Amino acid sequence: MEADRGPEAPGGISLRSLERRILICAALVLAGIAAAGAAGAASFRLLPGAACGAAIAWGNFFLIRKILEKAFLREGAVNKRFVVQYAVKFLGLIGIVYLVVRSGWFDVLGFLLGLTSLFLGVFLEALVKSFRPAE
Amino acid sequence: MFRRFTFSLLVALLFVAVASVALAAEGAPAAGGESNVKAVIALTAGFGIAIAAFGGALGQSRAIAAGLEGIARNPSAQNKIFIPMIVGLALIESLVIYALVIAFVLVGKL
Repeated sequence: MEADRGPEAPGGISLRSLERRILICAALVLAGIAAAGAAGAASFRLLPGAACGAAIAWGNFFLIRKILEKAFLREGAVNKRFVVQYAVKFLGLIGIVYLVVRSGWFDVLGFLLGLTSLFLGVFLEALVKSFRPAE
Repeated sequence: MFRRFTFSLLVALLFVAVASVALAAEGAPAAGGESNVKAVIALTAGFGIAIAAFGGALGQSRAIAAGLEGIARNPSAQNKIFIPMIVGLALIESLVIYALVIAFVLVGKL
């Protein structure tokens, strides 16, 4: 069955490749903040927050992929446990965001910048796919 | 019918919002503008996350419904539909997380 090969459709967007792009964008965001900090245009305090935000963005995407793949891309009936797993993931995400924002350990602006790596990763992946010749 | 209901709901929300600020202002005249600011912050955080959750839920439900309907109609296109659906869900959820962060920051100022 086609679905058993996983969601790596030839010519389409690959989720694993997208995850790599998100990591690349997270590295770029961190490097940008470090460069701005070195130039005196930004504070180095943004760095841990940005790293945490990028980790949360990547982890959230990874978990969404895992849960939905397990639920829908298997042969047979849909695994209904995915509803519970998705709810637990969502509650965990809210808890982590609450801790990060309210604890004061991380800079909130850096955290938001880190979260942006998901959008940048999707944008980068779409750019790469649009410039790659069709197979 | 749906439009009228939505319009009535929005007007009611607006009245509740305005009334809350007005009542808060009457309740603490000695505190000056600080009480007003806090009331506005509380309202902003509440409405902000409410609107974000409403929009996010609507967007996710539409994305999932359309995606699964497409897969049901054409199972051979499962991979091509499923991947953009997951990407869309992640993006929508990220926007709601942004609103959640802002709401937490605002609540922290109370």
